[in-house]
Order: sequence, then C-alpha cells, then structure tokens
Amino acid sequence: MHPTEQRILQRFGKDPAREFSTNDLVRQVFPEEYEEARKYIYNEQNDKSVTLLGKRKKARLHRKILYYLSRLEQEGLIRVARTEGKGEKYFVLNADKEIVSKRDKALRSVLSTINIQETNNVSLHGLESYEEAKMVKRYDSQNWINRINSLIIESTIRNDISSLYQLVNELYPSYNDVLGLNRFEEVIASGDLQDLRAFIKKCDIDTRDYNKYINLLIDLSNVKDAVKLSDFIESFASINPEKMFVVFKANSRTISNHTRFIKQLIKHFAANKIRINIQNKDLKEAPYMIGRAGAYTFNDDEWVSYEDEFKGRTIGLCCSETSLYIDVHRFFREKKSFSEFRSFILKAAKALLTASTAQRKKSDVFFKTLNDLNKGYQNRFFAYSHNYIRLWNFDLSQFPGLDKEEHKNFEALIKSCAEDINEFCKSEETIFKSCGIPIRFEVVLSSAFRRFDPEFLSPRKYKKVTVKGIHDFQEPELLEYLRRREELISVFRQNDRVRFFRAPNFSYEEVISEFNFLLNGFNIPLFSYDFKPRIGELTLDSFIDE
Amino acid sequence: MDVKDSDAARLWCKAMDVVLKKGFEYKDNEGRICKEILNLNVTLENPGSSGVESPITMINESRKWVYPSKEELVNIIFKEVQAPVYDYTYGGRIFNFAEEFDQLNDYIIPLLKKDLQSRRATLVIYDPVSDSKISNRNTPGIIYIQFRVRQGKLLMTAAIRSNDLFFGWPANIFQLYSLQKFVADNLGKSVGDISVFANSAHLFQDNFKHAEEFIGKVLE
Repeated sequence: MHPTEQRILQRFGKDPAREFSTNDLVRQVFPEEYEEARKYIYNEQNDKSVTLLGKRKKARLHRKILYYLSRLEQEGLIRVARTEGKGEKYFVLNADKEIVSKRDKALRSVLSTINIQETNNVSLHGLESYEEAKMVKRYDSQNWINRINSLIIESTIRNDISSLYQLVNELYPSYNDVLGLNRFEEVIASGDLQDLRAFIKKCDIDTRDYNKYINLLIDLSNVKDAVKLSDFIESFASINPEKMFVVFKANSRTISNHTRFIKQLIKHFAANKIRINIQNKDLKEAPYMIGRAGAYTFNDDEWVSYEDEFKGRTIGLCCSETSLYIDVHRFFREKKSFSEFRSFILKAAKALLTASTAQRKKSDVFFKTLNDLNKGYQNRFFAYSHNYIRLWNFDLSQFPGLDKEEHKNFEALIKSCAEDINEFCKSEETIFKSCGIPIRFEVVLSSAFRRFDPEFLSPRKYKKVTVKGIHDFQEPELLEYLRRREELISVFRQNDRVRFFRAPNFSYEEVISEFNFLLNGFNIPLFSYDFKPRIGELTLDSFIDE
Repeated sequence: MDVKDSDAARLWCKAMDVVLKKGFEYKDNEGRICKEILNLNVTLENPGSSGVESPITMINESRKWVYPSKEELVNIIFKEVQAPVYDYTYGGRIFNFAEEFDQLNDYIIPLLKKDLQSRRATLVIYDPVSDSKISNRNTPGIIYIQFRVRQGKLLMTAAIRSNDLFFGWPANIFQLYSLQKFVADNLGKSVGDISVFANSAHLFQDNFKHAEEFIGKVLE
C-alpha cells in the first residue's frame, strides 16, 4: 500500500464522520509542501511570478492527492460526498458499505484501526413529503447535525493575529456557515497593518476553499484610532474577500464621532462594491453575523449573561446548531391552506428537536474540537444556541390569487406560527428537564438568503429596495414596506436584516444622513447598504421594483 | 400524603388526581400557574409486574408531544460520561460523581453485598459545589436515592425536590426502575417497591386538561 494512501486513510480514520475537501487533505497529507506553496503564493515581495509558481505547486499537490483519492474511491473505501464551488470534491469514508479489501495486508491493518460510525443521516421525520416536493430543505444536509451552523469567538482570546489565524483555521471543520470574530477593532488596534492584511488574504483563500463565511465584528464606540481602522478598511476593500463581511456596531452618536472614518468607509466599500453592514447599537446589544444562510444573532439578555458570567472562559459562544429552509412560495403554490402551513411549521420544529436529540447524543464525538477548546465550560459554550427555520419567498403580496385581506392574515399567521414554536420549545424543554435531561431547545423563525441554495429555492418574488436619497424614506410605499419589515423583525426576534441597494451618484454626506435616518427612525437592528447595481435595473424612477 | 398502587398507569393517574383535587394553586417563577402538593409520597408496589413503561406509552400515543425515547431515558441514567452539552446528567452523577466516584459500583453494591440490612446505601445526585449557585437554574430534580433490602427484596426510595407529575413522573419511575433492576440483579435479589417522595409534586395548568383525560381513561 502506498504511504500516501495510508496517510489519507489514517486521516479519515481519525474523524470517520467528517467530509474532507481535496484542499483539506492536501493540507493534512502534505503539510510541508502545502506550507511551501502558500509561502510562495503570499510572498512578502508580492512578486507575481513567485505567486504563480506557488499556485502551480499547489495545483500539483492537488493532482497528486486526487490520483490517490481516485484509487481509494475505485476500491470503494471512500466516496465523493459532494462537489462545491468551482468543482472541488469533498470525500467521506464509505461507512455505508462493508469494507472488504483484498489488496494487501498493510491496507487491512489501516482499515482495522478505523472505527466506522453510522452516517449521520437523520431524516426529516414527518416532513418527507414536503422534502420531496422541495418545500423544505436542511442546511448542509450532509453535515446537518455533525457541525454547528454559526459561532462567535472573542478575537482577543488569542494574544496575536497569527494565533488567532490558527484558531480560525482549527474551527473550519466545526461549523458549516459563519464564524464571527467579536471585537475585531481590538485586534486592529494592537496589530500591525501588514499582518492584518496577510490575515485577511489568508482567510479569504481559506473561506473560499471551505465555502464558509467569516465576519469581522467592529464596535465603533470602542474604536480609539480611527486612522488605523481607516487604513485597515482600505486594505480590506482592496482585497475584497468574497466570503468575509464586516459588521459595524454603531448608533448615530458613534457615526457623528467618526464621520471622517465613515466617509472613507463609504468611499472604499462603494468603489469595490462591498456591502456596508450596520448594527443599530441602540436597538440590539448582542452581535450579528451574516452568513450564507441568513443573519444570525443572540438573545440580548443571554448575551449579557454570557459577558457577565463566562466570557473569557470559553472561546466564545455557539450561536446556532441546525437550520431548515422553507420555501413559502412553493408551499402556497401547491397547498394554499393556512392551517396546513401552521402544522407544517410545527412539524419542522419537531424535526429540529429530533435532530438536536441525535446531535446531543454524539456531541462528544461531533464537537470534539469545540469541547477541547472550551474545556471545563463546554456546556456554557452551547448554553445560548438555537435552531433556525428560515423562510424564503414569504412576501405573499406577490402571490397570485390572494387578496389583500389574505396578505394581512398571512402576516398574522407567521406571528402565530412563531408563538406556536415558542410554546412548543418551552414545553419540550420542560418535558426533557422533567425527565432529567436538561436541554436547551430554541427555534427561531428568520428569513433565508438566496445564496443558501439558488438551485433549490424558487425564483425570488420579494421586493428589493433601491435608495436614491433620503427623501425616499418619506415615500408612503417605502414607509409601509419598512413598517412591515419592522413587524416581521419583531416576530423573528430580531433575527433578520434589511438590505438596501444604493443608487449611484451620491455624496458621502447623503449616505451618512441616510444611515442616521435609519438608525434613529426605524426599529431595524441590522441593515446592509449594497453598492452593487441591481441586475436588470434600468430605471431609478421607482425605488421599489420586483 | 401517600398514594399507592401496583399498576404504574393507575398510580400515576391517582397521584395526578390528588394534585388536581387537593393541590394549592400558585404561580411559579416563570409565571406558570401550577397546582401543588407538598411532600407527596407515591409508591409503586411490585414494579416488575406493574407495567412501568405504560405512562410513557400513554404520553407517546397521544402524539401531542415529543417525549424522550426510552433509550435516551435509560442512557441518561446509565451513561457515566456526560455529553458536554448537558449541565448535568444523572448517569454522570451516579457513576462518576465529581469526576471521581462511582457511587453504585464502588459503594452501594459492595455495601449491600456485605451488609444486607444496611441503612447507608444512599447515593446522592445533587452536588452542592456545582449546583448550589443562585444563577443556576438547571439542577437535578432527583436529590438522592436510597436502597434497602428487606424480606429478600430490594426496595428503593427516591427524593425529588420538584416533580412535574405529568411529564416528569413517567420518565422518573422508568429510570428508577431500570436502576433498581440493575442493582437487584447484581445482588441476586428481586425488585421490591419504589417510593418516590416529592417535596413539590405539581401539575402545570397547560396540562390540567390532558391529565384529566388520562385520569378519565384509567380510573373511571
């Protein structure tokens, strides 16, 4: 047996339930060669020919490992679990098949050390027919329960940026959507700009490799050196990482204290078509994260209790464990019954309970890294997490055949579904606690982002909002839309975001006034300003169009 | 107050009936209205033939809630390694108290093997060092369990500080019986009565109607 095959299998054997991307395996099977290639790619001189050489070395390693992976695949020892991004394959140990290898003694001895577990295929019990009709889908179905969705870590939990990078790297296999780096402004304040730039560059590559998101969470009220922050933001904008976002925590006072910085921010982000995400600090204390699936946050009271009681003892907090998607448009196109929708949502909550039971049972195996990193406080790390039911295409005003009265009823329906879920979670927590199983079980409703799975989701039906100037916020139609969003945000327990497209030809002062208007005039705890032109938008006459 | 029966479902319904008829109404710290009886002693006679699982079956058959599976209920009381997501588990406290002491295999069983008449065979689940914190709301319901051998049978008494009779009792009696059976088998004895002493035996208002339905079916 070839030593490379042996190393690959041993890697699978250490973590039999896990999927490994080709890049994961290259990194772990050829660590030295991989590190060398990275050094070339990120050479300090920024020499393009050296970068190219590094990329070639990396490509060679990929080809080499793919050769051995394909041999193991032919043997039936591993299988391709999925393909992501630009065709990168993810492999998993073939646990469904009895492994009988006739090849050689060495291979058999490696296989005998592998403790194969069952695949973690927890079905959506009670939702099978809806799943078949593409009305519901699990987020990252392959890793639905063996990875958490999102987590936040304290950026200052490690002393320097390279240790922080190592920690971030260690965490990729543990989550499937987004990692938030809280109080990143402190890292910027204490770090060297070149190191910060290198950090962003490396994370940019990694997040694309892993198809995961990282958020840098910056509290503007905690920024002492706005010039340094400005330099960092300029650098960030020039790299323009695809899967990294910055979320600024602010209120109108911090905006006015940092006007120069905000102008720079608008300048650099608008020029590079990067969204500005602003969390209204006056409305929401707990941080937000924005991932592939949607927006994530914590309950404010629980966040405060985390900060008071065990911040610093854990690396941070798990924000969410599992998520389900519901395509509301597709549901009503087929069913159209409000009562069935209500029972469907409750069944979805039950399915999440079943999933969380399965996850709980194996949490020592699934979350080994997280448990090791939070030693002594493992249960606290999971103390405030929840599960999401994310709704897609739920703007029923776009549905044919429903009248205005029914739209209003639909909003009331969503509200009562949220109440049903709340009640269900509370009574299940009581049941489990009464039985000596002290679990935390929370499900929240939220909206889904299209990037979760553009192929699965029905074509977008909801409205997008383009802002041309502050006067737009006084238009009755936009005002009504925003008031409806405010109500939904409250039903979603603030787990939502409102996105605005900013029409071009603006002055920085205009955009700042709009920010202030949104911060002071609406109960919108998280909004994004998008400077990308909207596809198909030919006219700016209407600020709302489909 | 004492309630006794040799049929688990009947005993469960009798206990709920007592609380509904004689309990005092009060609002708990989460604003839920309950009916409560203090110091209720519920004894299941000859649990081996009592249909100890039947209350769980009744709850599951109603299909109104997701109740923990029997496998999970047994696991939680027998698994010594506590999964990291739990604040505590009964199994962790019984078999690995404070991460160092197996109360059952290293104390209860050897003690009763040596001295069948012993009144010291008590295992404690509550751990003041980790549980007695004002902010801690997840503390074990079962405080201690005592085993005694009398007339050739292994008797068991469990003290529960707060016992939700509707949801908690069916699981508790099943878990306690599993534990009792384990000890009895180790001692080569048969199982005797299980007494569950609840400092606060209560029902939540949300479950009054459901409890009445079960009582109606079983007792009338």
